[in-house]
Amino acid sequence: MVEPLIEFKNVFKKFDGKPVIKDLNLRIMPGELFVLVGSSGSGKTTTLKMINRLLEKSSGTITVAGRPVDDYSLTDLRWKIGYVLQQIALFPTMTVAKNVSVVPDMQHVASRQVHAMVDNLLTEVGLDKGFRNRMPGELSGGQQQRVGIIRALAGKPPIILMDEPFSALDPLARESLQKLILKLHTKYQNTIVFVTHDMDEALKLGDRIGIMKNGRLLQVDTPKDITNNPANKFVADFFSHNRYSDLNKILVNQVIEAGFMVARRSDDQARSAPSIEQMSNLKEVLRLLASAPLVRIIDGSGKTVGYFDNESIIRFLSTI
Amino acid sequence: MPDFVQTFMDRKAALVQALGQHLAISFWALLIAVVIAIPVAIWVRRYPKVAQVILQLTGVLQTIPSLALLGLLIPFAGIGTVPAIIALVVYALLPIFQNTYVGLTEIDPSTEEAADAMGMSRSRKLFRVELPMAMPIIISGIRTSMVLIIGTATLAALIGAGGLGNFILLGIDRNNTSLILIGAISAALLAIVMSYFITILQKMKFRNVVILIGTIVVIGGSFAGYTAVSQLNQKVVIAGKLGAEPEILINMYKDLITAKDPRLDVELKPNFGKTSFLFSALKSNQINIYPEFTGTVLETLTHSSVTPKTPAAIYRLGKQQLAQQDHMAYLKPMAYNNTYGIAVKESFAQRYHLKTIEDLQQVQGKLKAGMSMEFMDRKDGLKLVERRYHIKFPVKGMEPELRYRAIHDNQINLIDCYSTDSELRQYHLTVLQDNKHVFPIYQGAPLMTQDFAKKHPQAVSSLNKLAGKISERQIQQMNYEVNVLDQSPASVARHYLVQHHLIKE
Repeated sequence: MVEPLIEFKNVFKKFDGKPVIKDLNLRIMPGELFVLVGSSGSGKTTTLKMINRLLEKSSGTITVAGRPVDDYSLTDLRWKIGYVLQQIALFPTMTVAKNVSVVPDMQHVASRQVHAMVDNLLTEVGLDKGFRNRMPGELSGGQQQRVGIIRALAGKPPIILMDEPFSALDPLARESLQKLILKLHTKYQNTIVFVTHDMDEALKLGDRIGIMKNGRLLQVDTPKDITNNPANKFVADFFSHNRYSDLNKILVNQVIEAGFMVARRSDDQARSAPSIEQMSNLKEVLRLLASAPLVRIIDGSGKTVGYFDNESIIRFLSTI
Repeated sequence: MPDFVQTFMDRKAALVQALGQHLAISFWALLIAVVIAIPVAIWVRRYPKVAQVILQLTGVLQTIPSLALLGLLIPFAGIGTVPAIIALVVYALLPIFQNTYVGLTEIDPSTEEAADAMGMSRSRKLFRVELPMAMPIIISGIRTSMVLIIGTATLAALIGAGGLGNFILLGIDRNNTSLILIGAISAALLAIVMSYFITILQKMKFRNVVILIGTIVVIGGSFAGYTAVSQLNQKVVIAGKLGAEPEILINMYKDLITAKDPRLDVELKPNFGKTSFLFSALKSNQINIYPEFTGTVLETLTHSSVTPKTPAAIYRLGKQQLAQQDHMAYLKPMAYNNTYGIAVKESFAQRYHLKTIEDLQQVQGKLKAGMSMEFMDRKDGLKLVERRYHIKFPVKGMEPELRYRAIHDNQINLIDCYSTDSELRQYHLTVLQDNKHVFPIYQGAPLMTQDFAKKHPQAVSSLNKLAGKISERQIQQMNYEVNVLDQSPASVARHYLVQHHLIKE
């Protein structure tokens, strides 16, 4: 049996005597992209920050790789755990390259190696080498958070914590960064704990999702199980409230999951159908269907997953 | 303007020296303030309550008038460079502390969190993240302090630390606007140049800044150390109050002492400050000799409850009280009396046969007086003269300098004066004798500790050669040569001594 990489056992956290985390038990497996979702004050960020001890738990045990977090030296623990903030919080007096190499520099990695790694990482997130010597203040929010992400990756940590990393960004930047996270996660096979209050984001990114309310974990499941079998009315409401409220926010993936994809075909119509990615939204699908009878759905690597036609989409829309 | 240029050219060397002193005092004060304020600010930023207390405290320190602070420091730190630097440091603390504290506490908490989450140690976070972010604010605090220091350092001259303040004080004393301007403009320029220097430092790499400052400290420190060590040698320090007259006198003291004992190293500190500074300096052995007036001894130093009538009795009482209270040796006084006087033109005195103030009674109807406000106001001034001499004449209040111009232009024919003013010689005026002894007696004599007198009997006998010498006419003439003819006090002093066979050529 695979051991969990991060495990919470009977964890409590009090602020000024008030309990904010109540008897939390959670196992996060290696290689998982685990999303903690909940409204503000639910305790999701507190949970996240107890992992790298930015906040200390009041009681209970948290282990990382089988060892209680308190047994690590702070530096050792934090070098194992990358951290991405909502406020991005790049160091404003350092260049982009200096920001990215903060942890490798502390680890005394040879500077030539660091230099090459920074270049690679920049390319990885779609920023060219020209960004090396730019100052954070000169970048857009989306570009800054790309740097924020590779800053967390640079120490090659097995775990990355992300605290609402995209909630301060505009929808376009958010969407492209979500894709980027999935891509990097697939590539590096690291374990990500991702906190968000946005249910769509959770559904889009999470291998598993933990839903929190008032310091308790209500349900931990795959996106599909959560949508199909909400543990209680709150979870169900949380979804229906968030879900499908905006055509821009409904993803191709969600339509597929709801069971409205048309199976593979190999006729002429299928061959000339315009293609769309799984991560695209429904509005995009509607735009394509306005001029073509069929839309082909492809995954990240370009492989055809299936098709939408007018009828399937209209049936989907009627369920909203 | 030509006057200004002339003064500037004449005093170039002195100006360079004063600039050097000013810069050195300011640099050390600023460096010490930085070394104190920044670490303290770093330490207290986690304790806002302590920080508030320190902010209040440094704020209070800054409201102490600089003169008062310098005065308060004398009992603890004496006089000279050290107390001057202490006072300046006290003033410089607030801006540096406040800006460092604000700069550090205003850093976005999320940036701190990011640094923590990267596993940075406290010191690494401080030097890599926090200080660089707070640096612009800290630098602007340092710059504020620096301007403050360079301005306030002009007061250091009052306690014998030298610097550009010497020019300003001398200028005020000699009523020489050019000197005041040179001092003030140089201080302002120095502040601008240093401000620019800080801008350059700000652009340099941190490491290079440390190296540069370190080099300056090492060079400056070894220079200061060298000077301190060389001063340990047997040395006699003679200081004088502000002005030409004391400077002439201390030059005479030096010439007399070295004529007898050429091996003795005598250092002069002219324009060293006011009475109380000099007296405390004497007590703490920072200086060895200075000329003091008999009247001042009773009035300011021993706070005597009685004032005898005759000059000899005044001297005897002062000498006795100084010996008892402070173990001081007060040598015999010179002849002249530096006190208030009533002066008329020489021609006027001749025409009406005026010798004494009493003689004025005969010409009461012809008198038009111009007098300083202070003299008109003092109880022992004009009022006492009118009562004791039974005379009355119309008086206009005037600025001291205007008085002399006015009597020269015959707008008035009677003025008050100090009996040794160089203008008396300049405008050919006669001081009328105070035959009823209305004015207090101020005779100059060398003052030193009894210890010093015992160890240097030769110096004492040399200085006693001046006893009963130098008339009011003669000191007026010498003051005139220095103040108006711009001769050096040293040459004027030597000329007098040689002429009167007190030393050989």
